[in-house]
Amino acid sequence: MRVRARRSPVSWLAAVLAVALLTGCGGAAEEPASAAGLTNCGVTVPTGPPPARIFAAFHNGIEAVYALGAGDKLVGAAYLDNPLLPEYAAQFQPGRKKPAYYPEEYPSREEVLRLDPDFVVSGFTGAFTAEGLGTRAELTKIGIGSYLFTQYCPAADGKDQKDLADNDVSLDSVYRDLTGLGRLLGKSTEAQALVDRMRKTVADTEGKLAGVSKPRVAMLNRPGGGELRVFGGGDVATTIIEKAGGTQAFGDVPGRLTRIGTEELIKRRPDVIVVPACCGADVGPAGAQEVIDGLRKDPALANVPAVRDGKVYAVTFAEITPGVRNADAIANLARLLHPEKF
Amino acid sequence: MAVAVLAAAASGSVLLGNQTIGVRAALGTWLHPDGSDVQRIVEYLRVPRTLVGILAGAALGVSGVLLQGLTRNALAGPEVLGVNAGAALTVVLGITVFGVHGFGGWVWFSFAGAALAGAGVYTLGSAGRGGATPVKLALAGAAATAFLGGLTTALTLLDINTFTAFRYWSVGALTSADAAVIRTAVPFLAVGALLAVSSVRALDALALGDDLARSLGQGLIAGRVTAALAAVVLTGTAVALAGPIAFVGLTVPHMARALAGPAHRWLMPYAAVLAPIVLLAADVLGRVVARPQELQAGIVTAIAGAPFFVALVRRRKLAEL
Repeated sequence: MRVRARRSPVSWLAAVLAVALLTGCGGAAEEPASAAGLTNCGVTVPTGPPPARIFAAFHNGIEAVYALGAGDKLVGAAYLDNPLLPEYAAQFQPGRKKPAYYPEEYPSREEVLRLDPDFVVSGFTGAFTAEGLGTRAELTKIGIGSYLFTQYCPAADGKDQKDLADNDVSLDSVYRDLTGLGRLLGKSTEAQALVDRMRKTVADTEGKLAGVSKPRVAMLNRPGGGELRVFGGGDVATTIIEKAGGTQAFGDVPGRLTRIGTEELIKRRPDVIVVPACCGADVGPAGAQEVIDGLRKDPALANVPAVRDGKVYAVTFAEITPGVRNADAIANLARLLHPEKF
Repeated sequence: MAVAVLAAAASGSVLLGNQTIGVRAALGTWLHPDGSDVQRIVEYLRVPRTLVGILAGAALGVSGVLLQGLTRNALAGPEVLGVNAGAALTVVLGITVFGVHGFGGWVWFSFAGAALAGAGVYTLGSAGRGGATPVKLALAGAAATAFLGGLTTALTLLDINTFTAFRYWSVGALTSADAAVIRTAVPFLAVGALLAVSSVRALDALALGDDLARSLGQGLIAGRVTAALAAVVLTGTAVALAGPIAFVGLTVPHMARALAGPAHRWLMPYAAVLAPIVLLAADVLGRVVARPQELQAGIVTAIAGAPFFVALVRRRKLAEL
């Protein structure tokens, strides 16, 4: 998987310092609205007339634009982790450059500027670095507004995914993002309807799960067949597991993704293992099959309850990244964990 | 003495880690197997990674001795002469172009790359007047490393998925190979060891300088080719087993020289025993310092190896080869 590395101890320190510094002025994850604009990851985004030409980076950024009904404004898009949701697939026509689509690499800054966007939405902070499209301050200077999903607010503008602030990973932060982005795109009504739908999906699911016993769930991937990386307490995956009636087996591990050895997975004895499939517009859940087969065949893991009982499941990476899919992700996972309730 | 330390390091590698396993519990894996988690950890995780540490370590240590003797260059090592870089490039090619996954497939690519790069560097270094002088070999190696490394970087930047797969492997870790891969590697290592042993006399003669060696009647070309072949086989296999682990092949020969003196018939066995000690110690350290994470052995050798090497250079005035 790409630039989504975990937090290093040094950046933890930086994050703590940053939070300490920011508490005086409202906190990074808040979205206070004012006449001048909306604060997103410490950057003030003006709330003037809605943008007409949007560039969206990363799966969650792209789908949010479609879900808010601004897909017709999309001039460029980069990185889909999985196939788009069917309801947006018809609008997505890269063959006709609607939008221009960059599947693998960062389009160069020049290439993006040639699309003449007036707004950039990104699902991960890597887009807003010197190696990506430039920092958000630089984009602001040339008249391009921007929005970043707040679970990936960097410690400071221009820092990458390895250097995140101590962000709120609850569903509320996702709802706040969609509401805030909706407001910036002139789609407040759509945003409200979307958030209401998501809340209802989550409430319906939770309603069915009253009193269930909670299996221990580990969410992990294994890029390139190498090391195991588990999603920790600093990732929305933890929120999704808990809302779906599970206990996060690695909830005490801070940060988003943490490399662990096979022995640590054995020690944690997860009842269920979930493997998100990634990365490409044609990579469905089947993309996780190779990792799943590897786990099932590993003789060292044979006693781990999830492996022993055949409870190793594939999901899409897109649904466990903060965005419009999270509510359905909770419903899906709940069905896998508690099939008898549905 | 050194062998006893190696035995201790190997036991430590089986018993220490994410959780400490008692001697009795570990032995139970073979005496009365019950399929428990502890026994599975010993059998499928700890023992294979210990074997990889011993085999890859010994191969890298001996390979370093061979290359330093061959080039009469105290700073020679698989990483200096382009052998590592060649192995790394072909493995990346294997992943990108041929879609090879897993270490069983990488062995062959690594092997071919080490051999090609070694042969290429040797050919380049032997061209022109004076034949394969140490300086020309080292220069050719440096040029090849830069060129091959550039190609590898270009390939990995072209394809993000490849880069992820490569990044894990490129640091070097003892956890990648399972029993089947280890079994595949053993015959190669045996061939490499045989070649290394048969080049001992030639390396001793080379240490006296080309002219003196020639006057002593040593077959210089044959000796050099044997030693180079041994280095390629050993490095290629070690890289396939554990990735291009840095500093072991460069540093351990100096430790061996401090203990055993300059004669290659002693230098080689000492390096073969010392290098696994270093590698296993690095691996065990990596398991316990950052729990629940594990640092890959290659990271630990790089961090611990660099200052150690600087100290060694300053103490021993390297120009003695």
